[in-house]
Amino acid sequence: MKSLVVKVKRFDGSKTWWQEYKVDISSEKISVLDVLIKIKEEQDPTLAVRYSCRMAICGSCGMVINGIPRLACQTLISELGDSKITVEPMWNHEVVKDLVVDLEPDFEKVKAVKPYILRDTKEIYESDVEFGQRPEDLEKYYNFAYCIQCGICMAACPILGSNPKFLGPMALNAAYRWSADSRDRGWNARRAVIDAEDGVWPCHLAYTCSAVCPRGVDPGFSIQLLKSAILRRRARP
Amino acid sequence: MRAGRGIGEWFRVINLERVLFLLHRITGVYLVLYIFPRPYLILLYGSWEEALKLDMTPIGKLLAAFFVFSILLHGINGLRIMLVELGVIKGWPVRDPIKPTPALRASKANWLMVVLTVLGTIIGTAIGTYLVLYGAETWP
Ligand code: FES
Repeated sequence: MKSLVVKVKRFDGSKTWWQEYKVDISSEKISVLDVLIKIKEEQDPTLAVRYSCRMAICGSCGMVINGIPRLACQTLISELGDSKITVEPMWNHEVVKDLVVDLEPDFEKVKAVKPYILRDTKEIYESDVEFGQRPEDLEKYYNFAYCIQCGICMAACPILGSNPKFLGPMALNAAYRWSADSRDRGWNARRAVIDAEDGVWPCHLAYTCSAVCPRGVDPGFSIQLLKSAILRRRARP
Repeated sequence: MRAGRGIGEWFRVINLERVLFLLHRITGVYLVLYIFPRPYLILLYGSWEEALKLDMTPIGKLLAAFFVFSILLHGINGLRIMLVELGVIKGWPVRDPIKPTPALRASKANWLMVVLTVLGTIIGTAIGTYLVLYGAETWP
């Protein structure tokens, strides 16, 4: 049996405070989310935590654990190597309650870059041709399609700290993923949003988004790929 | 309530690249603060020579040494950022279910530029600081 001290940053809509919980666990091979659920069930039902899949797929349980934005369901107690754990809501987000933050602005930014294949409607509905794709075409965006939109990269981005209007790594990664798809023809529609003051240009390669991404998506690099695509097209006569 | 520190997020160091990012920001702000008041100093002191005398005071020399550090770090790291943005420094993320590697961490060219930034800044600042402190006396 091991004892943990879990410090949670709480918010009730008006005030914020740190609350400490002592938790006994029988194995370290459990996740931080398991510990939070244990606290909720056995000590404090008022603690607000958002989760769903518990297997790093839905992207609901993003929070800052011991100073690093991570998925609570993917972070094992054993990998933290400490019996003191601090948990706080994701930075750069409005807190709804305790560890639950508002992801809506992130999703709005993703929506702004049109995260889907853009083709002429006639092509889609009036022709029988399939939009095929070769394996090498798939390689161009495959890694970036792993994003689960958990918002962890947005919490880690220092630019979003000073400029909340910046589109951020989550939306810009989506812009790259769909623009790099060989079936897509939406570059010009997306370019208006990404080649703008709050588009790709504020990014100065802090690269924390890529360092903390729980899915190995590397959004920091997809932003650089977007920049070079913009510059290449600008250079064309 | 918005979580985090706002502009204070610049000062949170989580990964190595973030150290460079922070230094890039600090030196960028410093360069603006150091260079832009110069014309006004000349106006204030009446001549270029008089304004330059400020640089010969101990504080002036310290500020000039930090200027050398700033211009080197901001310049070389800025070059690295530009090379990545232009697609000259290439890379690709390495997919691995346990430990994926982001593209720029897998890129030798990027690491070479990081080493160049660090070494170039240290060596250049050492030489520059020596010249700032003793240059006026040793200049032939
Ligand atoms: S609960 Fe779904 S990602 Fe953690």
